[in-house]
Amino acid sequence: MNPELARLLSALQANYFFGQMRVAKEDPLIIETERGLKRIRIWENEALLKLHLKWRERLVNDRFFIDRMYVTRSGLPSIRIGHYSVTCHDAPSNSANLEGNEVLWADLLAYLHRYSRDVPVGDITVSASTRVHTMYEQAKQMGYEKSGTWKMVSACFSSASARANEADRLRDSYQHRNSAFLLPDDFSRGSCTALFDTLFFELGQSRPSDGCRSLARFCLNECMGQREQTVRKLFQELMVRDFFDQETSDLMQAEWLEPDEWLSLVESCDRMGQEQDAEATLNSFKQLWDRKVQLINLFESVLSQSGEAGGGAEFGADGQQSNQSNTLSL
Amino acid sequence: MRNLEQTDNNQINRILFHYDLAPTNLSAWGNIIRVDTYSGTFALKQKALNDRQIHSLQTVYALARRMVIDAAHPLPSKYGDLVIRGSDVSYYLMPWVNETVDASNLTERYRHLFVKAGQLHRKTLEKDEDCSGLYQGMVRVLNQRQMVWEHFLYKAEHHVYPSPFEQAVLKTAFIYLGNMQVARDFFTKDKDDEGKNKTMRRALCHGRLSPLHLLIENERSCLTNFENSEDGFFIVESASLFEQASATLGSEHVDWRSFFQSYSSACPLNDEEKEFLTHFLLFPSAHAELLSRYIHTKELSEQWFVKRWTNLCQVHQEMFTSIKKEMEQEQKKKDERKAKEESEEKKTSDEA
Repeated sequence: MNPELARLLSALQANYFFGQMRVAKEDPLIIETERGLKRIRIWENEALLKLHLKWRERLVNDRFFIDRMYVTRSGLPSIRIGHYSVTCHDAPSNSANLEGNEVLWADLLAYLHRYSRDVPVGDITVSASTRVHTMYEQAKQMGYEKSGTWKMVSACFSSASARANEADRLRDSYQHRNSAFLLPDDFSRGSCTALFDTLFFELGQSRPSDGCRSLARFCLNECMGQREQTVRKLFQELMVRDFFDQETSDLMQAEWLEPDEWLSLVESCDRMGQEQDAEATLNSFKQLWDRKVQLINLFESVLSQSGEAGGGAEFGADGQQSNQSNTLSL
Repeated sequence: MRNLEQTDNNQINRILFHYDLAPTNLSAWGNIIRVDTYSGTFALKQKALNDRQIHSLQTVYALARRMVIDAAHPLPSKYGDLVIRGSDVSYYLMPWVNETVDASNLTERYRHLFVKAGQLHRKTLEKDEDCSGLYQGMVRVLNQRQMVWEHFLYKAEHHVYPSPFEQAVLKTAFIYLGNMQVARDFFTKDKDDEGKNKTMRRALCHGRLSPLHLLIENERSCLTNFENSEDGFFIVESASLFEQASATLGSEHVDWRSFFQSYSSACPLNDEEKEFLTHFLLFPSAHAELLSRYIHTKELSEQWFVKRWTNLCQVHQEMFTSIKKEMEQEQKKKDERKAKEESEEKKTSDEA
């Protein structure tokens, strides 16, 4: 055992009410105690630790668990060792994927949507439209037109541009809001585990980020894993809980509309060496583009079923109304 | 006691997770859940608590941890919370106490209660504070009780044939009305001889002292249910405890002098507090409540009311007389001791 870890374990033993302790996993650090597995987190940024303590405090509730900090023998939520702080958390291991747990996830998200709010973070400063046009012009100047993927870049430019404009339009009204729904930056399907018929939600230790953006990405990832029905169920459950107000609905759609897969495709033009690479890049671009289109259609269909359609995401090549025909894989 | 259903268990398990406890058995004892685990037995209490009540529990926890008072207090969770808050109901965990005195043995429970109440007040004593507001409050309470009496007597006197209960009350009314006047004279004087506002000592008051808010295991006992505790003029709580005991214990043989001694040896009262106590006991709430109940309730028999009235009057009188006698004896002893000290001082100075 390295001396740093030995020092850490000895500090844990001295400060927490654990009788026995052994390292179960080193990265991330999990220790096994007579009271179950515990996750040890190291904080080098004291301000971030304070932010997380306050964040957890705001979210304490009896519907789901949060990975709160264990208190030390002296009643403090962390211990200080040299230049860093250490916190101890529960580490339940039963996975709680969205599939089959949509109601629990919807409960969790609805609660977070209401209480996990603070001043907005990470608002986009450069409009998507500007980025699309700038990137396209730069690519042309740099001679990417000879690249194998340029044909696709060029064919999708007008659609990408329309999508970017629509994303900008949807975001425009919320530029100066003073409260935003926040989720941890690394929010994913692994953020929750199952415990006593409810969820154990890990706020972890990443910075808070815009909740609508994180949730939109989460839903997209679920769709990429061929779980559209699960996402549909989640949307329906969230609808029942009045989750999709105009702002949430607009910002989530804006996230899906933003053509970042197209921007990545443009970026990839300069590193296309082999034919195989180009093929793989094009496939992944097409897949992502199609999934986003499907997801927006799915979202709109759920919203329209309840008669509360959101901001009206109109996008597609040449300003066409969005529908299944926008997909590239047809 | 009843075993809990599986659905209850899941809810309880979620709460116990806050303490890293895995129960081997759960059973409901009234609103307390007995939790048996390999690390010991605990009592999980579920109750609707507001912010103020949670703050009171935190205050008591801090005092008990510093060994200032002896209280059965909530145990902190692994996250440092004393109370696990739910949307409707909150929970807190305490060590399980195997009580050796049955809940029905009220005399024995009051014996412990007077000692513990005295200790609580004595150990949390604070400085004196202006008590004119308290005296004015007492006058308001007295007025309310007097109104109940007057309403009852007005009705009874207009009956051609007063009922047996009315007759029983009418027979004793002059004593209580006289007592109320004496109490009124006392509580309307909220200034001392020099014209300054009277002051009295404050302390932490339990808020709901009751023989059931006390855990007794052999000779060790400690107060519990501190959620309504707050700082106050503790003599009000002590006086209310005597009043409550006299209404609860009925005509059983009770050694009131011993109760008073238990309390005052743990928390000696000063002259002003003694005066307050004796005057407070002159307008008992139980009597006024019974009169009001007679007017508004038709479910209980005439005989029940007569019996209850006779009982209340008898016990109240016994209690009042015993406390008064004990106070007089204390005063007598104090005077004798003072006189003896003075004579000894005089003797010493003469010899010098």
